[in-house]
Formats: sequence, structure tokens, C-alpha cells
Amino acid sequence: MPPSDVKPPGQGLAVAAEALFLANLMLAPGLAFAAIVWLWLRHRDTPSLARCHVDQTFFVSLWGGALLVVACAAILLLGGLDWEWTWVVVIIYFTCVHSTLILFGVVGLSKALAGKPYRYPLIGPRCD
Amino acid sequence: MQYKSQSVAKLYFIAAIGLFVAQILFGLVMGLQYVMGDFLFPHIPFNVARMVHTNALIVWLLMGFMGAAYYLVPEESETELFSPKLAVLMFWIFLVAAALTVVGYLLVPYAGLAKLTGNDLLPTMGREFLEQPLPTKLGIVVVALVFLFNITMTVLKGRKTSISIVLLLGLWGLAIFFLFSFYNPDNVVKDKFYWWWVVHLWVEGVWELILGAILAFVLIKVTGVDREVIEKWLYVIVTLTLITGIIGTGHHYYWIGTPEYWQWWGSIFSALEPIPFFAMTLFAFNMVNRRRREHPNKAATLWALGTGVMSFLGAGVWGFLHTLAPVNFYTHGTQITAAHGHMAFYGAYVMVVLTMISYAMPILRGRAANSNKAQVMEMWAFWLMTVAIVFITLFLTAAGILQVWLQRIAATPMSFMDTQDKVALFYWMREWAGVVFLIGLLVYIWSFFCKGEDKTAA
Repeated sequence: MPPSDVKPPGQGLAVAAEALFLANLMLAPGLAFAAIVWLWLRHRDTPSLARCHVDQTFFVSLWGGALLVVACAAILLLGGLDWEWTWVVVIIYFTCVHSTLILFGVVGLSKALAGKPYRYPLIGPRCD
Repeated sequence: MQYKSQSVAKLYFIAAIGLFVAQILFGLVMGLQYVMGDFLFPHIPFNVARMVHTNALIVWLLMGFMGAAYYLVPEESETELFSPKLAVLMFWIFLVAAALTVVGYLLVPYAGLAKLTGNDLLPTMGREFLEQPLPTKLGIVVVALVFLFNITMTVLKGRKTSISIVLLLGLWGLAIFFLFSFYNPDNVVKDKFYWWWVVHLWVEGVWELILGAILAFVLIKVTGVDREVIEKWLYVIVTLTLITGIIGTGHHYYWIGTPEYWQWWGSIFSALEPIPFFAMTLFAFNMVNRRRREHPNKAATLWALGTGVMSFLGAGVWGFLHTLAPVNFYTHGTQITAAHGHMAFYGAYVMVVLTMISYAMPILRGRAANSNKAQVMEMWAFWLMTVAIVFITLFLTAAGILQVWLQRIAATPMSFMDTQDKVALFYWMREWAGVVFLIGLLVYIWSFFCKGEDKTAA
């Protein structure tokens, strides 16, 4: 079905949230997440499209942080820095998880640009 | 099919798929030679299997690009091809030259082939990916020039669109940079320096323009999104490609004897090289989400989306993994490079050619799309090949990391061959993933012969 040319309410905010999610993964980790937190706290009563994307990016960033930072730290601690298999596992794990999160972010951003809601697979909360 | 002359593309597509099979078979032979050193020796030594594997890839991708251009340009230019007969003639010349070259590789020892083909007149052989004998190289130039003449004349006499202009830019660039394969200075530093002008400026420069143009064309067709929107994306992708890719050549200049500043230039610009691939992924998903029509060819849409994703992963992520000079100091020339090479070539160029074939072949055969049954089979092929290449990449990455550690970081570094023994398990797993890839390719070919109720006539 052809999409309407009228932008749905909250689309700008949805796009901003998804762009910040990607920026947090690729350009400015931490800084971009702080901006997502700010959006999440400030825009509690926004149109459902924006709420969906802001919620998704906030919670998935938290999950992503745990999956990347905590899990990698655990692998390094358990395996030790002087064991070659630690590096085999941690590099492959980090690359795969980080790339997967980026690809989900790309799908999220393209959905936001098309004015559609999006729930991140497995770790995204339900959109109301 | 809107223009009768588009049918010449079919020949190119069929030959491309044939060479694709040859490439994979030789890849499997070579993969086995990694773990069974004397497999098929002395009939097919490793260096010969490798040459056929890589050269077949290059030639079938060129065939695919040419077929894509012959299909795309008449439709974009809204006119028949300038000379369909010339296109057919060039096809046969190219195919015979490619076949003779492979026969030469297989039957004549390489040094003998060099003597036999006049390499002493103008030495061009013996360099990775550019191993072709002089007559083959000259043949490629002739075929490319005639092809470009044909395509350019078609564009000049018809409508000029951004897609056809970007495609032409890419194709002309491809031909021009190939000329550096004839420049083979005695100085090894200069030799390597200009060798990359063919290899790097092809795959991380002008080929990306061809990729962008083909992807844009197919996305317009399958999504019905306004041309203006897609063309704006194409401009952005072309700009990002050229800004990052040209100076990004520097990531090949770190350790070949060039000045140290290349470590900075190469690191900075090649770290930016994932950006155009990221943009391409976003572009593909964005267009599909904004589609204004449900095209019956679901398989072509899947290939187009897959191109975005896999090129970003293979060329972008796996390229970035080892592109910074301080990292590359350790990883240079290891299996990490091979991992990147496999996924990047598949994701960017194999998939875009298969996207075009998937879209155009049913139309060339008189229908808008294949039957549901054939499309399901094609999508199975997509997943088998894609998952297989992901695993090939992961196994090679694991082998590469282990290789770097054992050979270059450990307190008592191992020799190259001892290290190879230690990573053999990953080579075995890579070989099995390769077998799955071959099965996927066979399913793909089978999908062309699958009967069923065809979708609307084209």
C-alpha cells in the first residue's frame, strides 16, 4: 500500500532516537546514550510512534551495554589476557554482537523514517 | 522486457553463473589443500587453484556487471542498445579468452605460460589477481572499450539519468584503472603502489559506484519509490564512496616502503570506509519500508536487502576490524584478511549481481517474476549461501586471530607452517561451510529450472 505523504506525529523524535542509538554504537558511545536518556525522561507523553522508538532505543541501549561491556569484561576476566582463546572468543563475540545491534538500529531507523513502529528482536520491550 | 536488445544480458548472466560454479569448485579444492597439502598435486597445485578461484571471481563479476549494464541502460535511456550485435560478439570473445586463460593456467606451468604468451615483451604477469597473460589482458581492454563504446553511445542517444551516469562513471573508471595492470616498474615499492590502483580503486572505488547504480535501479523497480528520492541517496553514496575510498587506498601502503604519513592517511580515511556501506544498508531498508507497490518478485527484494546488510558486514565491519595501522601491524596478510575478502566480495559484488539476475532473468524469460515455488527455492539458496559465507568468515576470523597470536604476539612465536597446523581445525570447518555454499549455489541454479505458475507476464 502506498505510504501517506503526511508525516505521522512524533516521527522527528522517533528518527532522532534511532539516530542516537546508532551514534551510541558507532560515533559517540556514552555521549549519545546520555542524549537518549534525556529524550526518554523528557518525552514521557509523546505520540505513540515516538514513545515506541524512544523506549526501544533506551532499553536496547542498556541491554546492548550489558551484552558488550559486561560480557566482554567477563570473558576477559575468566579467560585471562595471556590465553589466545580469550582473544579468539572476545573479538568474535564483540564483532558479532556489535554488528547485530547496528543492523537492528538500521532497521529501526528505516522504520522511523517510514513512520512505522519497530520492536527490536529478542531484547526490545513491547510497543503499546 | 521493454527493449528487445536487453536480451543480450541473458548470455552474460548465464556465463557469469557458470564461472561462479567454477570459482566455488576451485575454492573447495584449495580449501582442502590447506589441510591436505598434496590433494590433487601435481595436477592442480595450490597456486593454480588459487589463481583460478580469484580470476574466475573477477571475470564472472565483470560478466555480471556487463550483463547488468546491457539490461539496465536501454531501460534507463529509453532506447534500444546502440549495437546488440557488438554486445554478442564481445561476449563470445570474452568467454573464449577467459576459457583459454583457465586452460592455460591448468595445463601449462606458469613460468612456461609467461614465455609462451610474450610476457618478456611487456612483463605484466606474476602479480596477485593480475596473473592473466598479456594477450588476455589486451583482450580485456579491447572487450571493455567496445563494451563502453556500446553503452556510452546508448546513453548519449537516449535519456540521461543519474543511475546511468553513475553506472557509466563506474564502468569507465573500471576500464581506466585496469590500465595500471600494464605498468610493472622494477622498483618493488612502486610496483605495489600502482598495483593497488587496480585492485583497491576497483573494489573500494569504482565498483562501489556500479554497485550503487545497480542497487538503485532494482530498488526503483521493486519498490516503486520516486526516482528523485532514490537518486538523492545515490548521490550521497557516491560522494561518501569517493571521499573515503580514494585516500583509503593508503591502508595498503603501511608496510610496502612508502612514507610513514600513509599510516595516518590510510587509517583515518579507511576507518571512514564503512560509512558508504552503512548508507547503502539504510538506503535499501528505507526504500523497501517506503515502497509504493508490492512487486511479485520477492526474491529480488531479498537479494537487494541482503546486499546492503552483507556488504556492510563484509566490507565495512570486517574491513574496519583490521584497517587501523597499529592493528594491521599484527594482522597484515593473515587469515583475518581472507575472512574480510570472502565476506566483502560476496556481500557487495556477488550479491548485487545476483540481485540484478534475480530481478532481470524472469523478465528476460517473459514473466514479471518466477513462480512461488521457484522463488522459495531461490530464497533457500540465498539463505544457504549467505549463512555459509557468514560461517566461512567466522572460521577464518578465528583462524586469523589464533594465527596472529601464535605467530606474531606469543613470547616464543611459531613459524608460519607450525601455526598452520594449529589452526587446521578452523580450515576444516571452513571447508564444510564451503560445501554448504556449493549446495546453496546448486539450489540457486536449480531454481531456474523449477516449474510452477509464473507471475504476470512481463
